[in-house]
Amino acid sequence: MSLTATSFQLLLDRLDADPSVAAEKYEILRIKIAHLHRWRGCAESQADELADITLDRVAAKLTDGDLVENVNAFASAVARFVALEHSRKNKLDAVGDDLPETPVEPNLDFLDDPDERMKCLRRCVATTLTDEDKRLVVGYYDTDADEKAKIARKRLADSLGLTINALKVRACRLRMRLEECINDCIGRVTNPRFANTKQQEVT
Amino acid sequence: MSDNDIDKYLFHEMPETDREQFEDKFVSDDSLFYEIAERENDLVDKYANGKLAGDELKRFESSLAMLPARRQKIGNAKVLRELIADERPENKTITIAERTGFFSRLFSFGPALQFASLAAVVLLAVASIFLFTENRRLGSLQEDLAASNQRETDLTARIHEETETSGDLTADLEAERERIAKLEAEIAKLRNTNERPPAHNPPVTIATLFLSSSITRDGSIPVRRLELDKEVTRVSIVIAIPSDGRFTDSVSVTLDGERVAENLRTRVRRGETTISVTVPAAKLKPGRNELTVRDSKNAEAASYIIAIARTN
Repeated sequence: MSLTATSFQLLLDRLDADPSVAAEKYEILRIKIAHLHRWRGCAESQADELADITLDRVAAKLTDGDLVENVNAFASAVARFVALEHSRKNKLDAVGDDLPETPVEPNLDFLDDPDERMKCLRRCVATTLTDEDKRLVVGYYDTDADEKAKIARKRLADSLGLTINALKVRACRLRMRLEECINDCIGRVTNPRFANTKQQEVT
Repeated sequence: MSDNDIDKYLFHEMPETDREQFEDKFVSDDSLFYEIAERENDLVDKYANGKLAGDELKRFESSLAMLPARRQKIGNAKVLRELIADERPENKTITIAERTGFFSRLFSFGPALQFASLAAVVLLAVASIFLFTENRRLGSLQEDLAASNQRETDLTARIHEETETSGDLTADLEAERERIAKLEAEIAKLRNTNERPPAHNPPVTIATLFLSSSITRDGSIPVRRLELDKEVTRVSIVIAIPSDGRFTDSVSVTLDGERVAENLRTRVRRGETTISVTVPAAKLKPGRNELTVRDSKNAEAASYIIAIARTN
């Protein structure tokens, strides 16, 4: 099932009448669905792909004229179905009956050189974050000052003119973006076959 | 939604029906979704920093078996922690590029601000020089103070030493006074003793013999006769020696080859150079005794024969 321009537009229209707000809501919905897959045990390398499959199906249903009252709740239900489908496929593809139902990420620890990960992090910080974003991430996640974290975060929010809640959301989104970039980078480093792809396929 | 529900969801401890409901909620509710994501970040950061303990640690580690993506998050959390540590002000170094950036930013302002910045820099420089000078002066004063303290210590030690020496001198003086007092007492005692006639001390009898130098000029050894009473215990001999200038220093006297006196100083008596020597009477045997005067180089200066006759 492929996403057509019409179905995608239909999905955006259902999310919000304002195209820019709709695009933002789509992106947030995609992030949530990807996390739902991760929290259901999907491997990091497949979570984004499953999120895309989920949203494509939601858009297709809307194009088919199915009645969908709450797009988000509907997307959540479709995501679970996709996750189940994916886990069954993994089980069928696997040799033997005793393998776990959920796909298990291959143990890449022996390939995961902390220095490489650090290099990836530095590259991602330089390419995906602005100076202010970097300051925010560093200031927000400086967990060594645990007991003073609340005060430090309040001061950081004040200095950026944000509420604590807005700061939390922004820090969280920046970290998600940063982690996605690191995981892509590590995937390319540990498996050069996928050097030109965004996601590493692990089956 | 309680924190407990979030933890149950994240640790995979919710029944499937509750799980589905929970997912429907966070997919529709942005703030709940970020709350869950924040909690997961918090747990992962604590785990990566080794701050997770007890039941929470057990539950977290059990979830890792079911959630492979979380393992990647732990790896990311570790490097992020390192990056944050490097970025802390106390660990951060200022690069040349950053310095250049500072100055280029400074000089990109308008003329008024440039002037103000320049004035501030000059003021800062002057203040730095003043502080540097004051600091050096303070250092110098501290050195002086240390030297003064040292001097004070030395002087105190010297005063202490002088006091001790003074004490010693006083003690010496006291001892000296005591000694003088004893000597005076002894002298007084002796005077008293001298005033009284000696009880049983035998009289000391001394015979005197004068050996003139003129005797030695005829070439033969002169002989002098001396009668000694048995009461005589000592014989005082005055010897005239040739005054040809050879005997300006000390001389020695031998009696029959035995040295009886040495380091004798010559003196002039009635125009003649003489020496005096006292020998015990027992040393002079009856009959012939040869008395020789020698200079400091042991050369013979004069020689005499003394003939002793013992009388009752």
